[in-house]
Amino acid sequence: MGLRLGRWGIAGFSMVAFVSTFVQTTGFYQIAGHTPAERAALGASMSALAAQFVALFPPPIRPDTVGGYVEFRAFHSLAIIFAVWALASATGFARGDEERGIVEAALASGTSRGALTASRTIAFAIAAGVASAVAAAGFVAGVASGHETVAAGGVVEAGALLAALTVSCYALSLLVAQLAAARAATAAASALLLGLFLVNSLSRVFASLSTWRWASPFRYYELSQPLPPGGNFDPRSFLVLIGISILAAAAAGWAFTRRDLGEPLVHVPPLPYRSSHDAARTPVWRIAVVRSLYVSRLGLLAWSVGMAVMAAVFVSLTRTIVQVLLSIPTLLPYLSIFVHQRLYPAVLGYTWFNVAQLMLAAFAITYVARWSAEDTDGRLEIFLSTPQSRAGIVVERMAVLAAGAVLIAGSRWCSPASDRCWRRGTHEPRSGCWAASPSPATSTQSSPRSTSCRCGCRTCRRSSFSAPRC
Amino acid sequence: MLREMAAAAIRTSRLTKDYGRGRGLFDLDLQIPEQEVFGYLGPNGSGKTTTIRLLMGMIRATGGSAHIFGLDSTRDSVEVKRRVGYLPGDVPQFGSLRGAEVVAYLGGMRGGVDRRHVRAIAERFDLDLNRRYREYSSGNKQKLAILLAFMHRPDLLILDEPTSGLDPLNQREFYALLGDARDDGATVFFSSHVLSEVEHVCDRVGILRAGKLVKVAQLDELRRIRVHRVEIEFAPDADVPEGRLRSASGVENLSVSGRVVMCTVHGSFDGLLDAIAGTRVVDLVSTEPSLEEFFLTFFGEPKPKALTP
Repeated sequence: MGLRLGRWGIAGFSMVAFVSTFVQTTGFYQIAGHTPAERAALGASMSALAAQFVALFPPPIRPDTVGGYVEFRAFHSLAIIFAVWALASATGFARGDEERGIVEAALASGTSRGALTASRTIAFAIAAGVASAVAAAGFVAGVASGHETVAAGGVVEAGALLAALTVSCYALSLLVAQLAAARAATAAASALLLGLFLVNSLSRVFASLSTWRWASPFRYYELSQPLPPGGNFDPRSFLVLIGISILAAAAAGWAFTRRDLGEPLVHVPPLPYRSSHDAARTPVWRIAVVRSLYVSRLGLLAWSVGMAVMAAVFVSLTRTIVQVLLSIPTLLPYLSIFVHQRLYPAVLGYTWFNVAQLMLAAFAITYVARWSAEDTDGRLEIFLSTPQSRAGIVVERMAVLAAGAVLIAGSRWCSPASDRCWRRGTHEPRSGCWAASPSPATSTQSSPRSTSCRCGCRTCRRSSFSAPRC
Repeated sequence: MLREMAAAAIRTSRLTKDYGRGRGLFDLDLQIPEQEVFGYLGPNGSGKTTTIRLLMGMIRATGGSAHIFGLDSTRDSVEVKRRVGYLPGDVPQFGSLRGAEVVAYLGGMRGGVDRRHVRAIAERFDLDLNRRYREYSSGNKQKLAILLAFMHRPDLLILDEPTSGLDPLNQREFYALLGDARDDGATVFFSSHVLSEVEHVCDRVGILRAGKLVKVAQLDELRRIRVHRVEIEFAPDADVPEGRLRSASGVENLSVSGRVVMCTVHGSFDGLLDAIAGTRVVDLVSTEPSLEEFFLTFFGEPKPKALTP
């Protein structure tokens, strides 16, 4: 049943995986050149790029080879995408299917809760295995198109690692969803996975976090990079991922047997309650767009806080990244291609704008998914029964999405921590020096140059690329 | 003719929605005058919900037309919906919103909702609007859906199986609310698959089968053609009045097993009650046949393939 219910997810993510690895592999042959010198130059460029993303992805091994390049460009990104898939599937089973009555029907058929949890976890493991195998197949097909060969063992290991990480994320999300209330399950599981990801990735920058990275499945994923020549596969890390999956799934199954359907395992004491026969009096319900924003206020708040935290993290990392870049003399000519004025704002703009674009794209995707759910849950039908035209509803939805994106993008300005980090990380004395956080409308037009500071203060002049020894 | 058409709250002409393979709604010609309570009766999959969704402009017709108060249900859908209260067959899900928020949300989208009327309906059904939608029982979800349909005092109520999930007490309250709406001048289009339910509240009944309207009947005609299955157990010392029962008007398919008599009764019970008068009866059970059995008895046709539009 799990495979049947998740068939579109399997098809969709397999397609994304295949396209991602195939495009990156064939792209490598397009840009890498054919001589060792050309490939070494590409490798150096990729290393420079990786240095800017060190807070997200581990440094690549041999990016001058197709294996190292695709490991860095495709498989590391797929690990994040598959983690999101695992999160959505786990909370969908634990809470979504429960609300739709699918879980109740399955339990009524004589299936035990433990067996149901096990069957859905195994089904997802099969799905993750299929999608990972398709990712590996995309890589092999791309390599074949370049008339090269790669070691089959490395490809299999890369696919197996990706599947193991995905299943471990699924099991952890499943466990959290059993503990939290239905409305908070997705947020709680998201917070856990994001926290585990950041603990590992930020430990590359903040040494104090390295004490805790053992708790993150992403750590065990990164300990192996089997695709590039000279890469490695750590069987113990792979077994740890399998162990996390089994233990978390077993704990989730146990928690499921201990709680009531529709209720969390951990109960919060009820607040004082007063019944009412009146409609809500808040005037926001009467204002188009505002009412839809109000309905999703908790989600918007979570996105805004997440964006502000990410902004603070990136600003605080900028100084470290720039120092790393400036310590490599061979990178200076490469950097001069992209950066003509101040380096700190340029690097910050480049890294943060890229990540913020991804986050806002994810926000847009979740919003569109919400519209789809409105259709299947019958809300759209009841909205259409009011005197609203279909076009009006579409326009209102677009306005809600744009307003939500602006609110989230603007959340950076509400973050004092981010502002302090900005001053500390970039030597910039004025928060207004930094160009506004990106919104979907502005981010596509932004470039590192557009983020340059115009105040002309002493510290800005000192931090300009033309005087790199700041 | 022109005046009659202008007065019609609902008018359809050869309205068709063809889903293929014989599924859908075909050539529906219907005219419902204002202030009438019209019952739309049919077994599951007969096309009731398809008709309602066509009237509401939720789906597009393959052929024909539907007009509400003279307005095209697709082209003038916004104006139509201003005057219509709609209760869908599947209650929508509002997750963790409170009932009060759902009412305010939909009321805000619609505009012109009287808060006192909302309160009156909620009190009538004893519906606590401070609870989260997720915490509502299925009956309370249905009550909220009824409130949403009635809250703006619409001229036309289009209700798809409105009593499903309601207990008998709340069903009675709903029938009273429907009567009040009609007294205030509203027209009601009301689908159901329960014969006795439409008898309670409707002026006229349309009977739908396999996507086709097979009969439009006045209420007294419906009562005349309705069928009940009756089982009577007589006391041990009493004589079974078999002869009187066989000759009683409306009594058919009689079978006697010891002191237990089983039969079907068409229309009125008067003939049966006259036949057993003066005889001691221990138990008498009357059950309403399913719509399919009703169709078999009334139309003499076998059950068609189930339709799921």
